Amino acid sequence: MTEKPPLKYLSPQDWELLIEDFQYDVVRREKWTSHYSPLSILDLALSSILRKDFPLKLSLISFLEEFSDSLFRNFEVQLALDRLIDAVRSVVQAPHDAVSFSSALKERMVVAVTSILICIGNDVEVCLGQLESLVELLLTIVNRPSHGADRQMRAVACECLRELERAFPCLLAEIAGHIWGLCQSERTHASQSYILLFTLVIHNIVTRKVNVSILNTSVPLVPFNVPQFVVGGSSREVSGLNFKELRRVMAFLLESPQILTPSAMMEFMSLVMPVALVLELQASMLKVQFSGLLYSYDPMLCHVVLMIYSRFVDAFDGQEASIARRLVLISREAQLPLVFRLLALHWLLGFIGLVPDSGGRKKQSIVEIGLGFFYPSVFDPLALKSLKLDLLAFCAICLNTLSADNMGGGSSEVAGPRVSVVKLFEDGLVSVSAFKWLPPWSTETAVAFRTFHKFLIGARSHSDTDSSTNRTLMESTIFHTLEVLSGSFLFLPLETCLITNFINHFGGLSTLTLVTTGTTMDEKSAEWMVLFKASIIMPLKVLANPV
Amino acid sequence: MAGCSIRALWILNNFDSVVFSRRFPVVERQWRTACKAENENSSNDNLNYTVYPLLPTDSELAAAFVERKKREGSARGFGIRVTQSAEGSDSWVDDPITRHIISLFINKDEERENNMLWPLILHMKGHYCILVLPLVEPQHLKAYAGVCRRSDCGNAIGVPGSLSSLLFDLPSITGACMVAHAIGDVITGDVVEPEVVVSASPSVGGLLDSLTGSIGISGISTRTKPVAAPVAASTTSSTAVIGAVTSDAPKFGSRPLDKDALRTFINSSMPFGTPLDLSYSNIFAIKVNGFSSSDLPLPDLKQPAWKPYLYKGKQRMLFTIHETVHAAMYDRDEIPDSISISGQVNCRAELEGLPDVSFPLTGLNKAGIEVLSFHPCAQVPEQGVDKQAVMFSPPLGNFVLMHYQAFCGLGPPVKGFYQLSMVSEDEGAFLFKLCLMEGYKAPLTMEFCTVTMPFPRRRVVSFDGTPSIGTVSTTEHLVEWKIITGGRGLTGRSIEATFPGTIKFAPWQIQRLPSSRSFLGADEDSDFETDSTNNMVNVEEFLMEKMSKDLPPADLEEPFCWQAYNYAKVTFKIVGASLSGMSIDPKSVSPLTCDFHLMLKFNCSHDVTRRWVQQLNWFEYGYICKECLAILIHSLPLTITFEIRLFWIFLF
Repeated sequence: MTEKPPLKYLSPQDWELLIEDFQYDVVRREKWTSHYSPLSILDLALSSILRKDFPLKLSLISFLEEFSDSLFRNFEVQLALDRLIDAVRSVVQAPHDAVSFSSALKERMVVAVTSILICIGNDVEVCLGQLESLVELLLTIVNRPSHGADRQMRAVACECLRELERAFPCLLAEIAGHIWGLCQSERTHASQSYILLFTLVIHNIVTRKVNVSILNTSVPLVPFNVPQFVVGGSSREVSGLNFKELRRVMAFLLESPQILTPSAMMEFMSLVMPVALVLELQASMLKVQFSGLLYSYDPMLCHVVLMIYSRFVDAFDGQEASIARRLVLISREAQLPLVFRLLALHWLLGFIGLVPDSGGRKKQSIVEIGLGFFYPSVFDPLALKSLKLDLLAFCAICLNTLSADNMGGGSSEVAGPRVSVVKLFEDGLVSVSAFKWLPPWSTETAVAFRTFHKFLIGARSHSDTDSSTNRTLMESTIFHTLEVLSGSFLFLPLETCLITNFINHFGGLSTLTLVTTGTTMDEKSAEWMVLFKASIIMPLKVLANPV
Repeated sequence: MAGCSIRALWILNNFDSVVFSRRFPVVERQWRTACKAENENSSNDNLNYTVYPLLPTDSELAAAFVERKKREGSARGFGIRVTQSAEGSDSWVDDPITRHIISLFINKDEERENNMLWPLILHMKGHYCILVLPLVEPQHLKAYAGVCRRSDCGNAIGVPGSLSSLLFDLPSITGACMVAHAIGDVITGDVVEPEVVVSASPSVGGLLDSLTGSIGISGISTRTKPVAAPVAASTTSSTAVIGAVTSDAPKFGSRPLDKDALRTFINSSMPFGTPLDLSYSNIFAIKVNGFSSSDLPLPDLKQPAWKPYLYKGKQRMLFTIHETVHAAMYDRDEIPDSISISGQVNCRAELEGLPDVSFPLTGLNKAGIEVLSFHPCAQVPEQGVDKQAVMFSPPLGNFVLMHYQAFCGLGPPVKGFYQLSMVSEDEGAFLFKLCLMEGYKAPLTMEFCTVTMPFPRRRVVSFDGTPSIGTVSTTEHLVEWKIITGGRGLTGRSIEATFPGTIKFAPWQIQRLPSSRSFLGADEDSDFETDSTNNMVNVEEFLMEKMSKDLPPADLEEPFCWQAYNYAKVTFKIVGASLSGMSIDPKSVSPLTCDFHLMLKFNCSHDVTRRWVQQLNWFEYGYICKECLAILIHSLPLTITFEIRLFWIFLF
């Protein structure tokens, strides 16, 4: 495409329209790109941003950030970056002016230009000069720790450097010592950004095994040069890291979490854990320091503890039950938005999957916790009731397994758990028992039948300890039959009042289940049938034949 | 293991148009890089599945959202697997969380198999739908696509690749949920800090303005954007009090989207898409006030990111205990009432520097606390709380120091009886007999108490009746009885209140079910028990039959189908002490003495009928559980009589 002069000045209204069209779809986007080349759009945007009285500066910056990636072609990248770096320098160095060059504008500009460079400057060798210029500008900003007025700008500059380090790993490895020094000196609230930056630099050094000395500050901070091993991809790997230095650094980093926000804590831990693994730090150290976060009401902090657990399962040996209990208690916090209460139960299920089972203790614990905490309460939303009923169904599976184990071992304590499975179902279903009189399309009905399905199937398909058998059962005809029944059929006969058919189908279904699983109508199965008829069929009869 | 990064977010209005979108190119670059690596290896992959590498445009996203809405019955979706659930869709997964964490198919008409966008956090606030797309690994997306096609429904517990395992492995989803909620609060202006009540005393000074001035942030009180009113005064008028306590109601007004506030929040809270701080109060305070050279940091301590400003001025600490009671009462000797409490301790610490505060938890032992969760600033030891004390380093402004769930030592503050009996198809007689504050001694004071009888599906034509105390008013769909009004609180004694009356409704009209009925498999033209009218033995039975035909299914977010019951809501406020027994000893909070004030909120339900249980001919098949008994009690069949379905809710 050839440049189409002359460049028409775009008014704020034009820019609003252009931005909307770019966001909307490709067709409307082409309306503009057919008249303006990418570089001319960039020039117009930058000149508007640098003007004193332009009202849409922040919107324009966001536009450039979001669409540069799709805007510039390869041969335009360097030119575009040159102009952007010049512009960001002008904005940052402009005297502070609350209207024309506010702090917010400066901060937004460095973020946008950093973002654009990362996205369009994929090839470091091509954009080497621009990258060095930008890093140098950012380092100049951050190199004023604990100064008063520009603390927020320093924090933003640290975030920019962190994104560059993330995009070009080990970019800042050679100046890690300087960054550590800055990190120690910064005492304002911006120190979070310094710490996160330093943590990422260390993370990249450790995970990529780059041989640099962190204590050494012989390489100057500015002028900044991109390290050779980043440019050429040449290896600077060595067989071993300087563990002594790195452990010292880790000791420093692990002192700082209390100043981090929950969001930053999640980021921090995701960086620290791989380092701790490589350095073979004692997992118990992390556990002692961070386990208490599980008792926070911030879901991100709770998830941080789970992240640690999944990396260091052994360190938590013996504490699984208390973690599980805490997760289920989180789901009881009425103050939390529903999605987090549901998430807590999912975490519990994921957690159970991770906990190693030793001698059936795991199942015993699940049952103990389940009997105490899984019953839905009156004011639990139906979604939560549904998930808790799933957990009760899971308890039933555990009880069945324990019961089978006991039977195999000749234990006489079989009757207890077996009765409890039915009781679990009975007590659990009470929470949605309105399905017995509500119309068949009610949510309570859907939840109740879903639960019944889970109890019936769960107890059958998981009663074998052999997981391959379970899988086979999952794919069996009976499974699909039940699935069809629970997913669709249940509602149709109700809707058309074909109660008789419904009962027949379910009666046949129960028999079929027994046949497929290779058992006869034993005492237990008969119990299930009684239970089923009592809980579902009888009320339906009432519904079908009102007195 | 990744932390949390956001690829993009969209806000849609109630016409399903995108009114705001934001993409984070740096995060998107990570996604594309991961996709490239994944797709290069996918030739060896059994799934032979390539992941969708691009973000949709706004129009593509809106179209996909509308398509899902049609397919899944509503914006949230079915949540559990139903007849209409298509294999590969969210409801096929058969998990209610798929109403909050959804997938969209971009350009579905193109029949590509790789057009799934997941996980999108869906948060609905006011008239807006907020969609937040966090970064996950392509393999996670593939795993979810697999979960959507599993034949077995629900959670496959302990199976690798199950939905629960994914949610456990993906903190980015948790973070994205937090982002969605924070954005929801920003766009609806619902960013109020927790309430801290201050006793009116000369030392407090000019309340709000002087308090905000005393924070030491110049100009903070001149904020024009929705930020916290830092302190609420107990001397405010009763109207203001009512307004304050009912602030939980969604603000569904036609407030236009404040895009500037939104951009400010997003640019500061996650400049590159990775959340750094989701506190709107902090972000807005920094935007408005900035920093000056005179704001010197402490010489020896690092200032936390969650406390950008330090307090200067007179030092004090304020605490407010705030409790909501959920109660189910049965009026039956053999079944104990069930009352549980959700409480929180709100705090405002006006302390210079960065002190650690020791907060005694001795009150908790008496309170029968079941669950206890703390603000992130609290330092909870590894084994959890030892119930002696907890240390915390307070942030600036009002914050919730802890949440708790507790059992209740006292009886319900409102006991009573409510019965509504339909004497004809459109006319009913009702009776209230209430006892307020029985067993409640000073300083517990009931400031106000109002009973409302909502009739969302009937139009009230006329009403007749006089209560023994208070005033009555009606609107089209409710009757409101104000028993105690502001200004005359009830302290140190109990009162009885009765209210007999009759109510007449407009003739019942068949209402088309909202489309949600068909979501759960009902054919809207079906004739559910149509010819049974001849068998009806009384008018109530007949009426119930008619009304149940278009009873909409409850949302999964509701505890039950409210519209299936006749109930009364009682709203009231009690101040003076906590119901749980939770208390704070001002002398034992270090380093300073504190001023504290207590406020209670109640949320009770009460089923008061005794007779119906005997009439319930299938009661023998009911199952009674201590915790869930109320549901059994409430779940009366429509085919019996109207008055036995009484359901009394005290809601706050």
